[in-house]
Amino acid sequence: MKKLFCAALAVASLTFAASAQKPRFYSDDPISASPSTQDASRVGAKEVNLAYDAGLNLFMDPGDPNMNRRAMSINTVDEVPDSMWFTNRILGGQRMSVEDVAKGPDTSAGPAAGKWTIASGKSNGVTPGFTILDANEVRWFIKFDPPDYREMMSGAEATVTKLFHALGYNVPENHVTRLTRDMLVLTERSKVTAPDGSERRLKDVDIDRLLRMAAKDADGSYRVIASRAVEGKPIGPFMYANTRPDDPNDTIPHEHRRELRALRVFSAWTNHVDTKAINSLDTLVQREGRTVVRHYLIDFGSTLGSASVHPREYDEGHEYIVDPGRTLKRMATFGLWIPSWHFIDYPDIPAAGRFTADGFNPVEWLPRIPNPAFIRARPDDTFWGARRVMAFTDEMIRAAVKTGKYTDPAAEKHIADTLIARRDAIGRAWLTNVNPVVDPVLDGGTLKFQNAAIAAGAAKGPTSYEIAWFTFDNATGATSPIGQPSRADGEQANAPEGLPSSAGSFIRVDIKAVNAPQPSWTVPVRAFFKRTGSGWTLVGFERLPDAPAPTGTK
Amino acid sequence: MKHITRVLPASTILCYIHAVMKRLLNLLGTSLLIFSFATAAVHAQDTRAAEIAQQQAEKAKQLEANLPSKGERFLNWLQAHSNDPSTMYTTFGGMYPSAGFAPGIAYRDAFGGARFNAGVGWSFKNYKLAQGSLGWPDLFGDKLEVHTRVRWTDATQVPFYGVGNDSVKDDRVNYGLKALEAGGSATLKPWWWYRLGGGVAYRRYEDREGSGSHPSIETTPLIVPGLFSEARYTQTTAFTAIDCRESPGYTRSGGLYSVTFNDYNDSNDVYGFRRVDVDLQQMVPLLKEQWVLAFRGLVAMTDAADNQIVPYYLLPNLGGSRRHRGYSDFRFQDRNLLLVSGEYRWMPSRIVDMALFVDAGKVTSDRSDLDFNDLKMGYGIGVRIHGPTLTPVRIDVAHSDEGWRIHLTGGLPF
Repeated sequence: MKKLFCAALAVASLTFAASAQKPRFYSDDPISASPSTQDASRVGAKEVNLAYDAGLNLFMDPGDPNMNRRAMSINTVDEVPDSMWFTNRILGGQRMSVEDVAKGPDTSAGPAAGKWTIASGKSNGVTPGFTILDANEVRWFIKFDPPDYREMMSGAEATVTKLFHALGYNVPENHVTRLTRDMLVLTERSKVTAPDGSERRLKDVDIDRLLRMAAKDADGSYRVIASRAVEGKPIGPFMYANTRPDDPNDTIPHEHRRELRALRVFSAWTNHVDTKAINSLDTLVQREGRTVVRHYLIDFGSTLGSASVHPREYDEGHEYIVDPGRTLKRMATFGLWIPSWHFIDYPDIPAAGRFTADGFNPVEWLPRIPNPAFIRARPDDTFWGARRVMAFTDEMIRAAVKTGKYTDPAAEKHIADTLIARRDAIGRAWLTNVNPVVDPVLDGGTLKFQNAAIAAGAAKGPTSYEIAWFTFDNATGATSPIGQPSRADGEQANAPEGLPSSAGSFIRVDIKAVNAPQPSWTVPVRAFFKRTGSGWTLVGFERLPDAPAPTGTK
Repeated sequence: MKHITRVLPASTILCYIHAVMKRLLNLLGTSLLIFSFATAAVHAQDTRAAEIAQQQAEKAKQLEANLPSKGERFLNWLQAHSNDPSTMYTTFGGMYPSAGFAPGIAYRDAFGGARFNAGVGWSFKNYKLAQGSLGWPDLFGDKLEVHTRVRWTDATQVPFYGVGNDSVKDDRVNYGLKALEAGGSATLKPWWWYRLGGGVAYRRYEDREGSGSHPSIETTPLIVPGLFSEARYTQTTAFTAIDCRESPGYTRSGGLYSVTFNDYNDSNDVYGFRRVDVDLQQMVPLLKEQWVLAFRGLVAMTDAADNQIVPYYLLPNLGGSRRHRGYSDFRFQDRNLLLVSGEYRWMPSRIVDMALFVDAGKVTSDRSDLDFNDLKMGYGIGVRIHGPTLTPVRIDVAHSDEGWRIHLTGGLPF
């Protein structure tokens, strides 16, 4: 820590004077892609100890003590540029179709038919499985459903993979497929890793033992989820706090990445309570002639109503596994203090596990273990996430669920209906708790914008806005009012007289709601336009300013 | 505050100051790091892409190896050690009731499907244990278990209060007992919820004077069946059980319904007897397992062959953390035993359970007296730290007409 502090102090001291001269907007703002410019070939592999990660997040509160710092992975228009972490898809330049969502990351129809050579037994995670090479020598990870809850884990994994891919994350290619015992072939190279880390040759008895833990169908086959090995050399998971110290391109503390903060929204939507480090994976890949680290989310078996080997516990999504306050309350009341989640009913659909929209409050939803990025999510982060969730149409959601290949139509319908209802709840919760003005455009003399909350049907009114115009000095940040603030009925207003006309000049427009249903809507958003030729280009957008607050706690 | 300052040791205060300073440094350091990356040498750049590239180039000069911390390394070692099928390990307890704190060391190994285990222990009360076992826990597709074992115990101060339900606490005397057991058992598991099995063992017992703060057993005026005997048995066992608990180590639902028959055959026809144990347990989860009502009924009955006696040290006994928490180990002994327990368990968190409990039991010389009259009552409250299948820590505080008792142990009481 001392080294970090000294280094930061030295760099900051050297550059402080220069920083005053830094323009707010560069010529290439807003960037649509964040580059990885340094060679990362020397990044080493490192696994994360599950207990250590859990203990760290439960008791140590890792990451920046400032709980109100603006996300740092965003560009100047408050969006997350494409990177090795994230690719804009559902709200990207090319809007996704229903078919795009259903296809997800798939590049094939699953493992090639024929004999599957088992490379190794699965030594981590709670779900039985192993690694195979299919008939085309492609590596796949195979996992099984628990015997009493057929299709629950595999369906959730397939469905949520499609949703998270559409949301913008790097995810593996997951297929629901089938295998029979006679398809599996062992070779001398087939290995199993013992819990102590030692390797030994895999035997038929090991496979039989694994298969006994899996749901077997009447025809003797097994329904499995096949997860294709992702591109690149695996180097272990990423942590949700701080940066990887050996990756030169990893300069933004992970807890300040909006795509990880907003994962809270997506996780609430899909009940992804298991957002811990080991359900992520970094790999070394080649891009533009250099080695860089690509970041994946993996293992969606504990999503929707599934906890992989059994249905979701009743408290999951509602409480951390260690919650001192509630624990003491229940201890002191002899268990007579009963949280509301005890009264939530779940339909008796085994393949759906325990998944419902009843009692779902996105704001109060919690993963199993505190996540440093989730804890630091601000209203502008959750708003950003909610817009993406609300971009899914009912048809897209149903198409994603269909890839779960549920044989019980009731399960498919229940899961899709629940996702739709939870999507709408997310819109109501997170599109409304910050000024929801989006997509400002200054075209000719007219300013146009949208109200995302109203457009999504998540809120009603207001019908009028107050708009203030300023000149903006990009070098100094100085502003000067242009006329008096004006009032606009609806999402459109005329620009005042006296806007600068020289190319390269900047203006700032503040937009806030009048008589808003939510007090937060009266905090103006700030849009920055740059004069380019005869028009104005949006170069900056700020929903909430960076307002470092005193240290907080989770 | 004044009081707190006075009573806190200096090291604690220094640790606190260190923690506060560390946190402030962390805040300042993080802020500066973020600030520095945001501003480092950017005055030379005129594009955002160049600024990002500059920040990454700056970090490239400060790379550090991504190594596990000391804490993570320790946990890695601990997990590898815990899961290692071939290793030395330490043990605590599991020696003999009344042994007290009993550390030990053991070695386990795996040979294909076989599991070997051997260890020794020595308690603070000078109890000693040496044991070894060799087992095949999942033969024929996990349908058959076979275990063999040898166990030698030397207990130095086992309590004896007399025989019968009316024994008096103040009559306690101690005795020593050496026991040797060697045998094997086989268990059929046709279904996950059903067990059927049997076994044969050679057992030898030799009691002697007791040590400790209580008088030795030879000084008691009480009747002590089989005092200072050397009993040798061929013990045959048969048992059957329906076990639909989630796990023997921790469960919120299901039940255990087991019957065990034991024949202790003394070749000298002096101490031979038969014993039947019936253990019935049922867990009833309520309101999504917010509460669990747990019930247990345990009956042990012995039946001595003609003119033979059941030695006092093998009589069914009541008392202790699993056999009536209101009383100490071996508090009541006789030929027959009845214990009923009820627990109201509630779940303050995923890893902490609490329970209000009642234990009631009796011992009798005559089987026909096994009724609900004159039960010895105890009640209390407990806290259990558990995982999905294990309960490593259990603290039960119980009260009976003989006062309060605290049990710090592991595993559920039933």
